[in-house]
Amino acid sequence: MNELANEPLDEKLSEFFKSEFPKPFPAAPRVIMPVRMARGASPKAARFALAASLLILACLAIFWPKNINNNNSSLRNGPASASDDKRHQLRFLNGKELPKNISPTSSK
Amino acid sequence: MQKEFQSYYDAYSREVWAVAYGRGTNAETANDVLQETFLRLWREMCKGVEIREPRAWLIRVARNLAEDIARSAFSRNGTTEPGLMDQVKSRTEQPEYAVLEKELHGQIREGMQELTTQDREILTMRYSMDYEIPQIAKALGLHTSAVHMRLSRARAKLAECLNQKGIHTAGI
Repeated sequence: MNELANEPLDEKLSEFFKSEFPKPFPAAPRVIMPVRMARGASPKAARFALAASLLILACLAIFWPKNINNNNSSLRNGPASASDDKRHQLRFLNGKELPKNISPTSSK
Repeated sequence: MQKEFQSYYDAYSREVWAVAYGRGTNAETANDVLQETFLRLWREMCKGVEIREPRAWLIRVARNLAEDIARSAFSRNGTTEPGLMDQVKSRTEQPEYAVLEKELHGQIREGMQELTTQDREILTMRYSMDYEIPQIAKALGLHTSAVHMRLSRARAKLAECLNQKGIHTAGI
């Protein structure tokens, strides 16, 4: 019979489990901080930034002025030539007011 | 984040090892499970997952990993892991005391197989880490009376197994 058998059970179990327990106890596994995390941007911050960007895009889509196309159409209906464009007609020549129906070119 | 990880390892690694050992009754496998469990924790931390109860989380992961390993070892070998029987009889020449001790430990290891996994976890925490019953109860999320009952039952069953093998024990 095993000579160690007569020891109390607690003692045997204690010896057995302590012999099984690793000595020295293994160190924590080596872990490397992911690059994304190392820069300081947490995943939560990234998700928040994405959500904010989408919200801004949605707001722009809703509130963007809708009469931009009308301005383009008024350009299409503008004067045929520069001489017809009344905005370019001179009202004064050499300090004298020109009659409204006379253009500077016709006065010559 | 690395400091937080290290603090978890310092606080819970021994309990994780005990749980893994209780499942598979193999120290080397328990070491592997320990490392893998904490690597999984690190991956979760990197993903930004908030783990509210790290102790319970670690113990759950270690149990599942150890179960998977034990199951795969069983399906591969048909019985228990080959390493389990290595220490029953040693062929190498060693001092007599060491041989007897190894033989006894082999018998205890065999007896442990007769116990439930939870009983093995409790025994491991009690004897390898010298945990008192309240500490075991806290670590495993059990009531102290349940731990007390299971510990007594496990010891009695283990003593009976050893008695059947001709190893008489005292102090039960």
